Amino acid sequence: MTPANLPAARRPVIAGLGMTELGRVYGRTAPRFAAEAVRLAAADAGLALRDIDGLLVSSGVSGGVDLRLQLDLGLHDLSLLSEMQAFGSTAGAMVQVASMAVMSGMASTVACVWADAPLSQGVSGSDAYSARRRVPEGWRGLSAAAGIVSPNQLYALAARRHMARFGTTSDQLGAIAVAQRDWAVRNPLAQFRDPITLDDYHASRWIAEPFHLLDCCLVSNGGIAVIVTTADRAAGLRQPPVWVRGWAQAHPGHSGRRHDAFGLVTGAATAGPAALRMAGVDLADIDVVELYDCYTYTVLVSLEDYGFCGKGEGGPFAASGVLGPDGKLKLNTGGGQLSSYYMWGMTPLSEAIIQARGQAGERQVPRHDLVLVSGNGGILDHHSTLILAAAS
Amino acid sequence: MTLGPVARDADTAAFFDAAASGQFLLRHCPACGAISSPQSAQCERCAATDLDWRPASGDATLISWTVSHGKPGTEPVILCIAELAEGPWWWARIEDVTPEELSIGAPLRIAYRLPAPDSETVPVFVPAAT
Repeated sequence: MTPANLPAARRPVIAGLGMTELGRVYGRTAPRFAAEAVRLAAADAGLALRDIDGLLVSSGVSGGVDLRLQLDLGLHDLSLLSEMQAFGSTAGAMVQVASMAVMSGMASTVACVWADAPLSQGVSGSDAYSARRRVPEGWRGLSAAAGIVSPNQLYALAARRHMARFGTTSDQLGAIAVAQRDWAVRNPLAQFRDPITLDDYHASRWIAEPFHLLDCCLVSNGGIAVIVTTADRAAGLRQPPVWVRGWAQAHPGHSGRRHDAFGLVTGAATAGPAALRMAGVDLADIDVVELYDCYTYTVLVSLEDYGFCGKGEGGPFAASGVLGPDGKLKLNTGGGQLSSYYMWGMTPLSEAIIQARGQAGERQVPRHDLVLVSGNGGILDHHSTLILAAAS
Repeated sequence: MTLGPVARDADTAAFFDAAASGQFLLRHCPACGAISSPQSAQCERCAATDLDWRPASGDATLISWTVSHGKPGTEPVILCIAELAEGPWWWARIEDVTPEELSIGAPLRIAYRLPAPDSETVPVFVPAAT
Protein backbone atom coordinates (compact mmCIF):
# COMPACT_ATOMS: atom_id res chain seq x y z
CA MET A 1 0.00 0.00 0.00
CA THR A 2 1.49 3.34 -1.05
CA PRO A 3 0.82 6.66 0.68
CA ALA A 4 -1.34 7.75 -2.26
CA ASN A 5 -3.95 5.01 -1.95
CA LEU A 6 -4.16 4.84 1.83
CA PRO A 7 -7.53 5.68 3.40
CA ALA A 8 -7.79 9.34 4.41
CA ALA A 9 -7.46 8.39 8.06
CA ARG A 10 -3.87 7.31 7.41
CA ARG A 11 -2.82 9.33 4.36
CA PRO A 12 -0.01 11.78 5.25
CA VAL A 13 -0.43 15.43 4.34
CA ILE A 14 1.32 18.69 5.16
CA ALA A 15 -1.24 20.94 6.80
CA GLY A 16 0.87 23.77 8.16
CA LEU A 17 3.90 25.86 7.21
CA GLY A 18 5.61 28.29 9.57
CA MET A 19 8.42 30.58 8.48
CA THR A 20 10.10 33.10 10.77
CA GLU A 21 11.76 36.24 9.50
CA LEU A 22 14.71 34.94 7.45
CA GLY A 23 18.11 36.38 6.62
CA ARG A 24 20.18 38.91 8.53
CA VAL A 25 17.87 38.75 11.52
CA TYR A 26 19.86 39.23 14.71
CA GLY A 27 19.33 38.89 18.44
CA ARG A 28 17.56 35.54 18.39
CA THR A 29 19.05 32.10 19.03
CA ALA A 30 18.30 29.05 16.87
CA PRO A 31 16.04 27.50 19.56
CA ARG A 32 14.03 30.75 19.63
CA PHE A 33 13.65 30.66 15.84
CA ALA A 34 12.65 26.97 16.06
CA ALA A 35 9.93 27.60 18.66
CA GLU A 36 8.58 30.56 16.71
CA ALA A 37 8.49 28.49 13.48
CA VAL A 38 6.45 25.73 15.17
CA ARG A 39 3.99 28.27 16.64
CA LEU A 40 3.62 29.84 13.19
CA ALA A 41 3.12 26.46 11.53
CA ALA A 42 0.42 25.46 14.02
CA ALA A 43 -1.35 28.79 13.56
CA ASP A 44 -1.06 28.47 9.78
CA ALA A 45 -2.76 25.06 9.98
CA GLY A 46 -5.41 26.35 12.36
CA LEU A 47 -4.20 24.10 15.17
CA ALA A 48 -3.36 24.82 18.78
CA LEU A 49 0.06 23.81 20.05
CA ARG A 50 -1.62 21.22 22.30
CA ASP A 51 -2.87 19.43 19.16
CA ILE A 52 0.73 18.49 18.31
CA ASP A 53 1.62 14.98 19.49
CA GLY A 54 4.90 14.51 17.61
CA LEU A 55 7.96 16.72 17.27
CA LEU A 56 11.05 16.25 15.09
CA VAL A 57 13.81 18.83 15.50
CA SER A 58 17.00 19.64 13.63
CA SER A 59 19.44 22.47 13.19
CA GLY A 60 22.32 23.79 11.13
CA VAL A 61 25.73 24.87 12.35
CA SER A 62 24.84 27.00 15.36
CA GLY A 63 23.17 24.13 17.22
CA GLY A 64 21.06 24.27 20.32
CA VAL A 65 17.85 23.08 18.70
CA ASP A 66 17.24 19.86 20.57
CA LEU A 67 14.72 17.91 22.62
CA ARG A 68 14.31 20.85 25.03
CA LEU A 69 12.17 22.45 22.31
CA GLN A 70 9.29 20.38 23.68
CA LEU A 71 9.55 22.30 26.96
CA ASP A 72 9.98 25.66 25.23
CA LEU A 73 6.71 24.98 23.42
CA GLY A 74 4.94 23.57 26.49
CA LEU A 75 4.11 20.33 24.69
CA HIS A 76 2.98 17.51 26.97
CA ASP A 77 2.56 13.77 26.41
CA LEU A 78 4.18 13.56 22.98
CA SER A 79 4.10 10.13 21.35
CA LEU A 80 7.04 10.95 19.02
CA LEU A 81 10.04 13.16 19.81
CA SER A 82 13.48 13.03 18.23
CA GLU A 83 16.37 15.07 16.94
CA MET A 84 17.35 14.24 13.35
CA GLN A 85 20.49 15.03 11.37
CA ALA A 86 21.21 14.16 7.76
CA PHE A 87 22.48 17.65 6.87
CA GLY A 88 20.78 19.14 3.81
CA SER A 89 18.59 16.08 3.39
CA THR A 90 17.13 16.37 6.91
CA ALA A 91 14.01 18.38 6.11
CA GLY A 92 12.86 15.78 3.61
CA ALA A 93 13.84 12.98 5.98
CA MET A 94 11.82 14.53 8.82
CA VAL A 95 8.71 14.73 6.63
CA GLN A 96 9.25 11.08 5.70
CA VAL A 97 9.47 9.95 9.33
CA ALA A 98 6.49 12.11 10.27
CA SER A 99 4.52 10.62 7.37
CA MET A 100 5.32 7.09 8.47
CA ALA A 101 4.29 8.02 12.02
CA VAL A 102 0.84 9.21 10.95
CA MET A 103 0.45 6.30 8.50
CA SER A 104 1.10 3.85 11.33
CA GLY A 105 -1.06 5.70 13.80
CA MET A 106 1.88 6.26 16.11
CA ALA A 107 1.17 9.99 16.08
CA SER A 108 -1.54 12.13 14.51
CA THR A 109 0.02 15.58 14.19
CA VAL A 110 3.78 15.92 13.87
CA ALA A 111 5.71 19.19 13.76
CA CYS A 112 9.04 19.08 11.90
CA VAL A 113 11.33 22.05 12.47
CA TRP A 114 14.75 23.27 11.36
CA ALA A 115 16.40 26.46 12.57
CA ASP A 116 19.83 28.05 12.56
CA ALA A 117 21.43 31.32 13.59
CA PRO A 118 24.99 31.29 12.21
CA LEU A 119 25.08 35.02 11.48
CA SER A 120 25.97 37.61 14.07
CA GLN A 121 26.19 41.31 13.41
CA GLY A 122 29.47 42.33 11.75
CA VAL A 123 30.53 38.79 10.77
CA SER A 124 30.48 37.76 7.11
CA GLY A 125 28.52 34.74 5.98
CA SER A 126 31.65 32.85 4.94
CA ASP A 127 33.28 33.42 8.33
CA ALA A 128 30.09 32.22 10.01
CA TYR A 129 30.40 28.88 8.20
CA SER A 130 34.19 28.39 8.30
CA ALA A 131 35.93 25.97 10.64
CA ARG A 132 37.37 27.38 13.85
CA ARG A 133 39.42 24.53 15.27
CA ARG A 134 42.37 25.52 17.49
CA VAL A 135 44.75 22.57 17.24
CA PRO A 136 43.68 20.35 14.35
CA GLU A 137 44.32 16.71 15.14
CA GLY A 138 44.38 13.38 13.37
CA TRP A 139 42.91 12.68 9.94
CA ARG A 140 40.60 15.69 10.02
CA GLY A 141 43.52 17.78 11.20
CA LEU A 142 45.44 16.78 8.08
CA SER A 143 42.68 18.20 5.88
CA ALA A 144 42.63 21.38 7.94
CA ALA A 145 46.41 21.67 7.66
CA ALA A 146 46.12 21.49 3.88
CA GLY A 147 43.50 24.25 3.98
CA ILE A 148 40.57 21.97 3.12
CA VAL A 149 38.08 23.57 5.48
CA SER A 150 34.98 24.57 3.56
CA PRO A 151 32.17 22.90 1.63
CA ASN A 152 32.88 25.50 -1.07
CA GLN A 153 36.16 23.72 -1.83
CA LEU A 154 34.73 20.21 -1.65
CA TYR A 155 31.85 20.99 -4.00
CA ALA A 156 34.28 22.84 -6.28
CA LEU A 157 36.28 19.61 -6.59
CA ALA A 158 33.06 17.79 -7.49
CA ALA A 159 32.07 20.45 -10.03
CA ARG A 160 35.52 20.52 -11.67
CA ARG A 161 35.32 16.78 -12.20
CA HIS A 162 31.93 17.13 -13.86
CA MET A 163 33.26 19.91 -16.08
CA ALA A 164 36.29 17.88 -17.12
CA ARG A 165 34.30 14.73 -17.81
CA PHE A 166 31.30 16.24 -19.59
CA GLY A 167 32.51 19.61 -20.85
CA THR A 168 30.24 21.56 -18.48
CA THR A 169 31.10 25.28 -18.64
CA SER A 170 31.03 28.29 -16.32
CA ASP A 171 28.45 29.92 -18.59
CA GLN A 172 26.16 26.95 -17.99
CA LEU A 173 26.57 27.15 -14.21
CA GLY A 174 25.97 30.88 -14.47
CA ALA A 175 22.71 30.30 -16.34
CA ILE A 176 21.36 28.61 -13.21
CA ALA A 177 22.37 31.54 -10.98
CA VAL A 178 20.76 34.04 -13.36
CA ALA A 179 17.53 32.02 -13.72
CA GLN A 180 17.11 31.58 -9.99
CA ARG A 181 17.68 35.29 -9.38
CA ASP A 182 14.90 35.99 -11.90
CA TRP A 183 12.58 33.94 -9.69
CA ALA A 184 13.84 35.66 -6.53
CA VAL A 185 12.96 39.06 -8.02
CA ARG A 186 9.33 37.88 -7.74
CA ASN A 187 9.69 36.49 -4.19
CA PRO A 188 9.12 38.94 -1.31
CA LEU A 189 10.81 36.45 1.05
CA ALA A 190 14.09 36.57 -0.92
CA GLN A 191 17.25 38.16 0.49
CA PHE A 192 18.57 39.09 -3.00
CA ARG A 193 15.98 40.58 -5.36
CA ASP A 194 18.05 42.58 -7.86
CA PRO A 195 18.27 40.84 -11.23
CA ILE A 196 21.71 39.67 -12.37
CA THR A 197 23.23 38.97 -15.78
CA LEU A 198 25.75 36.38 -16.90
CA ASP A 199 28.32 39.23 -16.90
CA ASP A 200 27.55 39.92 -13.23
CA TYR A 201 28.04 36.24 -12.57
CA HIS A 202 31.46 36.17 -14.20
CA ALA A 203 32.46 39.42 -12.49
CA SER A 204 31.63 38.10 -9.02
CA ARG A 205 34.77 37.15 -7.09
CA TRP A 206 36.26 33.69 -7.07
CA ILE A 207 35.49 31.57 -4.03
CA ALA A 208 36.95 28.19 -5.00
CA GLU A 209 37.35 27.80 -8.77
CA PRO A 210 35.23 26.96 -10.72
CA PHE A 211 32.87 28.66 -8.23
CA HIS A 212 32.31 32.38 -8.24
CA LEU A 213 30.47 34.02 -5.36
CA LEU A 214 27.25 33.77 -7.39
CA ASP A 215 27.61 29.98 -7.63
CA CYS A 216 27.26 29.72 -3.85
CA CYS A 217 24.28 29.77 -1.52
CA LEU A 218 23.86 32.69 0.83
CA VAL A 219 23.73 32.37 4.63
CA SER A 220 20.60 33.06 6.68
CA ASN A 221 19.30 33.09 10.22
CA GLY A 222 15.80 31.81 10.83
CA GLY A 223 13.60 28.78 11.22
CA ILE A 224 10.96 26.90 9.24
CA ALA A 225 8.50 24.28 10.46
CA VAL A 226 5.86 22.12 8.82
CA ILE A 227 2.97 20.16 10.33
CA VAL A 228 2.34 16.65 9.03
CA THR A 229 -1.01 15.06 9.80
CA THR A 230 -3.59 12.79 8.15
CA ALA A 231 -5.83 13.79 5.25
CA ASP A 232 -8.86 13.23 7.49
CA ARG A 233 -7.61 15.61 10.14
CA ALA A 234 -6.40 18.18 7.59
CA ALA A 235 -9.81 18.31 5.90
CA GLY A 236 -11.24 20.64 8.53
CA LEU A 237 -8.17 22.84 8.87
CA ARG A 238 -7.29 26.27 7.49
CA GLN A 239 -4.98 25.45 4.58
CA PRO A 240 -5.34 23.37 1.43
CA PRO A 241 -3.58 20.12 2.38
CA VAL A 242 -0.51 19.02 0.47
CA TRP A 243 -0.28 15.26 0.19
CA VAL A 244 3.01 13.54 0.84
CA ARG A 245 2.62 11.05 -1.94
CA GLY A 246 6.05 9.47 -2.35
CA TRP A 247 9.53 9.62 -0.92
CA ALA A 248 12.96 8.05 -0.81
CA GLN A 249 16.47 8.54 0.49
CA ALA A 250 19.89 7.60 -0.87
CA HIS A 251 23.18 7.55 1.00
CA PRO A 252 25.87 6.24 -1.37
CA GLY A 253 28.49 6.00 1.40
CA HIS A 254 31.67 6.66 -0.55
CA SER A 255 33.13 9.37 1.72
CA GLY A 256 35.73 10.40 -0.82
CA ARG A 257 38.15 7.54 -0.14
CA ARG A 258 37.73 5.96 -3.55
CA HIS A 259 34.65 6.92 -5.45
CA ASP A 260 34.45 6.76 -9.21
CA ALA A 261 31.10 8.56 -9.31
CA PHE A 262 32.25 11.52 -7.17
CA GLY A 263 30.96 14.71 -8.76
CA LEU A 264 29.42 12.81 -11.64
CA VAL A 265 26.41 10.97 -10.12
CA THR A 266 24.55 11.67 -6.84
CA GLY A 267 22.03 9.85 -4.67
CA ALA A 268 19.26 11.52 -6.68
CA ALA A 269 19.82 8.88 -9.35
CA THR A 270 18.35 6.22 -7.06
CA ALA A 271 16.16 8.28 -4.71
CA GLY A 272 14.35 9.99 -7.61
CA PRO A 273 13.00 6.88 -9.36
CA ALA A 274 12.18 5.25 -6.00
CA ALA A 275 10.13 8.25 -4.84
CA LEU A 276 8.29 8.50 -8.17
CA ARG A 277 7.51 4.78 -8.02
CA MET A 278 6.06 5.12 -4.51
CA ALA A 279 3.97 8.07 -5.67
CA GLY A 280 2.81 6.13 -8.74
CA VAL A 281 3.72 8.98 -11.11
CA ASP A 282 6.24 9.61 -13.87
CA LEU A 283 8.83 12.35 -14.05
CA ALA A 284 6.88 13.82 -16.96
CA ASP A 285 3.91 14.35 -14.61
CA ILE A 286 5.90 16.68 -12.33
CA ASP A 287 4.77 20.31 -12.59
CA VAL A 288 7.17 22.06 -10.22
CA VAL A 289 10.71 21.10 -9.23
CA GLU A 290 12.41 22.36 -6.07
CA LEU A 291 15.99 21.12 -6.01
CA TYR A 292 18.48 21.55 -3.22
CA ASP A 293 20.89 24.25 -4.41
CA CYS A 294 23.85 24.76 -2.12
CA TYR A 295 25.68 25.54 -5.39
CA THR A 296 24.64 26.04 -9.01
CA TYR A 297 26.47 22.81 -9.76
CA THR A 298 24.29 20.86 -7.29
CA VAL A 299 21.23 21.89 -9.30
CA LEU A 300 22.89 20.90 -12.57
CA VAL A 301 23.95 17.42 -11.47
CA SER A 302 20.58 16.84 -9.75
CA LEU A 303 18.73 17.71 -12.98
CA GLU A 304 20.71 14.95 -14.70
CA ASP A 305 20.25 12.40 -11.93
CA TYR A 306 16.48 12.93 -11.71
CA GLY A 307 16.35 12.44 -15.47
CA PHE A 308 15.24 15.89 -16.62
CA CYS A 309 18.08 15.54 -19.12
CA GLY A 310 20.67 12.88 -19.90
CA LYS A 311 23.81 12.25 -17.85
CA GLY A 312 26.39 14.84 -18.81
CA GLU A 313 23.83 17.04 -20.54
CA GLY A 314 22.99 19.19 -17.51
CA GLY A 315 25.12 22.07 -18.75
CA PRO A 316 23.61 22.49 -22.22
CA PHE A 317 20.16 21.82 -20.72
CA ALA A 318 20.51 24.54 -18.06
CA ALA A 319 21.72 27.06 -20.64
CA SER A 320 19.04 26.22 -23.22
CA GLY A 321 16.51 28.73 -21.92
CA VAL A 322 14.45 26.06 -20.17
CA LEU A 323 14.98 27.69 -16.72
CA GLY A 324 13.64 30.89 -15.18
CA PRO A 325 10.08 32.22 -14.91
CA ASP A 326 9.60 32.15 -18.70
CA GLY A 327 11.16 28.73 -19.15
CA LYS A 328 9.40 25.42 -19.58
CA LEU A 329 10.84 23.76 -16.47
CA LYS A 330 9.51 25.42 -13.32
CA LEU A 331 12.61 24.98 -11.18
CA ASN A 332 13.49 26.58 -7.84
CA THR A 333 10.65 29.00 -8.22
CA GLY A 334 11.41 30.97 -5.06
CA GLY A 335 15.01 31.71 -6.02
CA GLY A 336 16.33 28.92 -3.82
CA GLN A 337 19.31 29.06 -1.53
CA LEU A 338 21.33 30.88 -4.18
CA SER A 339 19.14 33.98 -4.01
CA SER A 340 16.34 33.73 -1.45
CA TYR A 341 17.11 32.11 1.89
CA TYR A 342 19.41 29.39 3.17
CA MET A 343 17.36 27.12 5.40
CA TRP A 344 19.00 23.90 4.17
CA GLY A 345 16.32 21.39 3.08
CA MET A 346 13.55 23.62 4.36
CA THR A 347 14.21 26.05 1.49
CA PRO A 348 13.04 23.78 -1.34
CA LEU A 349 10.38 22.21 0.92
CA SER A 350 8.80 25.53 1.94
CA GLU A 351 8.63 26.81 -1.63
CA ALA A 352 7.15 23.47 -2.74
CA ILE A 353 4.34 23.80 -0.19
CA ILE A 354 3.66 27.42 -1.15
CA GLN A 355 3.48 26.48 -4.85
CA ALA A 356 1.39 23.35 -4.28
CA ARG A 357 -1.13 25.41 -2.31
CA GLY A 358 -1.24 28.02 -5.07
CA GLN A 359 -0.12 30.78 -2.71
CA ALA A 360 3.02 31.97 -4.48
CA GLY A 361 1.57 35.25 -5.75
CA GLU A 362 3.56 36.84 -8.55
CA ARG A 363 5.73 33.74 -8.97
CA GLN A 364 2.87 31.18 -8.82
CA VAL A 365 3.22 28.43 -11.39
CA PRO A 366 -0.11 27.83 -13.20
CA ARG A 367 0.09 24.02 -13.03
CA HIS A 368 1.13 22.90 -9.54
CA ASP A 369 -0.48 19.52 -8.94
CA LEU A 370 2.75 17.58 -8.45
CA VAL A 371 5.93 18.94 -6.93
CA LEU A 372 9.29 17.19 -6.66
CA VAL A 373 11.47 18.30 -3.74
CA SER A 374 15.08 17.29 -3.16
CA GLY A 375 17.41 17.51 -0.18
CA ASN A 376 21.15 17.01 -0.37
CA GLY A 377 23.61 16.78 2.49
CA GLY A 378 27.30 16.35 3.09
CA ILE A 379 29.33 16.49 -0.09
CA LEU A 380 26.67 14.78 -2.19
CA ASP A 381 26.64 12.06 0.50
CA HIS A 382 22.98 12.18 1.57
CA HIS A 383 19.89 12.63 -0.56
CA SER A 384 16.18 12.81 0.16
CA THR A 385 13.30 13.13 -2.29
CA LEU A 386 9.65 14.02 -1.68
CA ILE A 387 6.81 13.92 -4.18
CA LEU A 388 4.10 16.31 -3.00
CA ALA A 389 0.64 16.62 -4.50
CA ALA A 390 -1.88 19.44 -4.27
CA ALA A 391 -5.17 18.19 -2.85
CA SER A 392 -7.79 18.12 -5.59
CA MET B 1 48.56 30.47 2.34
CA THR B 2 51.08 28.24 4.11
CA LEU B 3 50.17 24.81 5.38
CA GLY B 4 48.79 24.77 8.90
CA PRO B 5 50.14 22.67 11.74
CA VAL B 6 48.62 19.32 12.65
CA ALA B 7 48.88 17.15 15.76
CA ARG B 8 48.78 13.36 15.99
CA ASP B 9 46.17 11.30 17.78
CA ALA B 10 46.05 7.58 18.51
CA ASP B 11 44.74 6.73 15.04
CA THR B 12 47.41 8.69 13.17
CA ALA B 13 50.61 8.05 15.19
CA ALA B 14 52.02 5.39 12.84
CA PHE B 15 51.08 7.43 9.77
CA PHE B 16 52.87 10.54 11.03
CA ASP B 17 55.94 8.60 12.15
CA ALA B 18 56.29 7.24 8.62
CA ALA B 19 55.55 10.61 7.00
CA ALA B 20 58.41 12.12 9.01
CA SER B 21 60.76 9.70 7.28
CA GLY B 22 59.28 10.29 3.82
CA GLN B 23 56.81 7.41 3.59
CA PHE B 24 53.06 7.46 2.97
CA LEU B 25 51.38 4.52 4.69
CA LEU B 26 48.30 2.73 3.41
CA ARG B 27 46.28 0.01 5.09
CA HIS B 28 46.89 -3.56 3.93
CA CYS B 29 44.62 -6.50 4.69
CA PRO B 30 46.54 -9.72 5.41
CA ALA B 31 43.32 -11.71 4.97
CA CYS B 32 42.39 -10.66 1.42
CA GLY B 33 45.37 -8.61 0.28
CA ALA B 34 43.35 -5.45 -0.46
CA ILE B 35 44.83 -1.98 0.05
CA SER B 36 42.62 0.54 1.88
CA SER B 37 42.87 4.24 2.70
CA PRO B 38 45.13 5.07 5.65
CA GLN B 39 42.17 6.26 7.73
CA SER B 40 40.17 3.04 7.19
CA ALA B 41 39.82 0.97 10.36
CA GLN B 42 38.33 -1.95 8.45
CA CYS B 43 39.30 -3.43 5.10
CA GLU B 44 37.40 -1.65 2.32
CA ARG B 45 36.96 -4.99 0.52
CA CYS B 46 36.35 -7.72 3.15
CA ALA B 47 35.65 -5.70 6.35
CA ALA B 48 38.45 -7.39 8.30
CA THR B 49 39.73 -5.21 11.14
CA ASP B 50 43.16 -6.80 11.62
CA LEU B 51 45.04 -4.53 9.20
CA ASP B 52 48.71 -3.72 8.88
CA TRP B 53 50.46 -0.83 7.16
CA ARG B 54 52.04 -0.85 3.71
CA PRO B 55 54.06 2.05 2.23
CA ALA B 56 52.64 3.64 -0.93
CA SER B 57 54.82 4.07 -4.01
CA GLY B 58 54.18 7.81 -3.88
CA ASP B 59 52.81 7.89 -7.43
CA ALA B 60 49.36 9.37 -8.02
CA THR B 61 47.13 10.83 -10.71
CA LEU B 62 44.97 13.93 -10.49
CA ILE B 63 41.22 13.30 -10.04
CA SER B 64 40.09 16.93 -9.54
CA TRP B 65 41.40 20.25 -8.26
CA THR B 66 40.23 23.67 -7.13
CA VAL B 67 41.99 26.99 -6.80
CA SER B 68 40.75 28.14 -3.42
CA HIS B 69 40.70 31.88 -2.80
CA GLY B 70 40.92 33.10 0.78
CA LYS B 71 40.46 36.56 2.19
CA PRO B 72 41.50 39.49 0.00
CA GLY B 73 45.26 39.90 0.07
CA THR B 74 45.98 36.21 0.67
CA GLU B 75 47.46 33.95 -2.00
CA PRO B 76 45.10 31.34 -3.45
CA VAL B 77 46.05 27.70 -2.91
CA ILE B 78 45.43 24.65 -5.07
CA LEU B 79 43.64 21.73 -3.42
CA CYS B 80 43.11 18.40 -5.08
CA ILE B 81 41.90 14.85 -4.95
CA ALA B 82 44.44 12.40 -6.35
CA GLU B 83 44.25 8.66 -6.84
CA LEU B 84 47.27 6.87 -5.43
CA ALA B 85 48.79 4.19 -7.65
CA GLU B 86 47.50 1.62 -5.12
CA GLY B 87 43.88 2.80 -5.57
CA PRO B 88 42.81 4.93 -2.58
CA TRP B 89 42.11 8.62 -3.04
CA TRP B 90 43.86 11.32 -1.03
CA TRP B 91 42.75 14.94 -0.57
CA ALA B 92 45.63 17.38 -0.18
CA ARG B 93 47.42 20.51 -1.33
CA ILE B 94 49.26 20.59 -4.69
CA GLU B 95 52.44 22.68 -4.70
CA ASP B 96 55.11 23.73 -7.20
CA VAL B 97 52.60 24.06 -10.04
CA THR B 98 50.34 26.70 -11.61
CA PRO B 99 46.65 26.02 -12.27
CA GLU B 100 47.27 26.35 -16.02
CA GLU B 101 49.58 23.33 -15.89
CA LEU B 102 46.93 21.07 -14.35
CA SER B 103 44.68 18.61 -16.12
CA ILE B 104 42.73 15.64 -14.85
CA GLY B 105 44.82 12.49 -15.05
CA ALA B 106 48.10 14.42 -14.66
CA PRO B 107 50.85 12.38 -12.93
CA LEU B 108 51.72 13.53 -9.40
CA ARG B 109 54.14 12.53 -6.65
CA ILE B 110 53.73 12.72 -2.90
CA ALA B 111 56.12 15.14 -1.19
CA TYR B 112 56.45 15.97 2.50
CA ARG B 113 56.30 19.32 4.26
CA LEU B 114 56.80 20.42 7.84
CA PRO B 115 54.40 23.35 8.38
CA ALA B 116 55.91 24.35 11.75
CA PRO B 117 58.66 23.01 14.03
CA ASP B 118 56.16 21.48 16.47
CA SER B 119 53.82 20.11 13.77
CA GLU B 120 53.60 16.64 12.31
CA THR B 121 54.72 16.16 8.69
CA VAL B 122 52.03 16.89 6.08
CA PRO B 123 51.97 15.06 2.73
CA VAL B 124 51.34 17.22 -0.35
CA PHE B 125 51.27 16.47 -4.06
CA VAL B 126 53.74 17.90 -6.58
CA PRO B 127 53.95 17.29 -10.32
CA ALA B 128 55.75 14.04 -11.16
CA ALA B 129 59.23 14.71 -12.50
CA THR B 130 59.13 14.81 -16.27
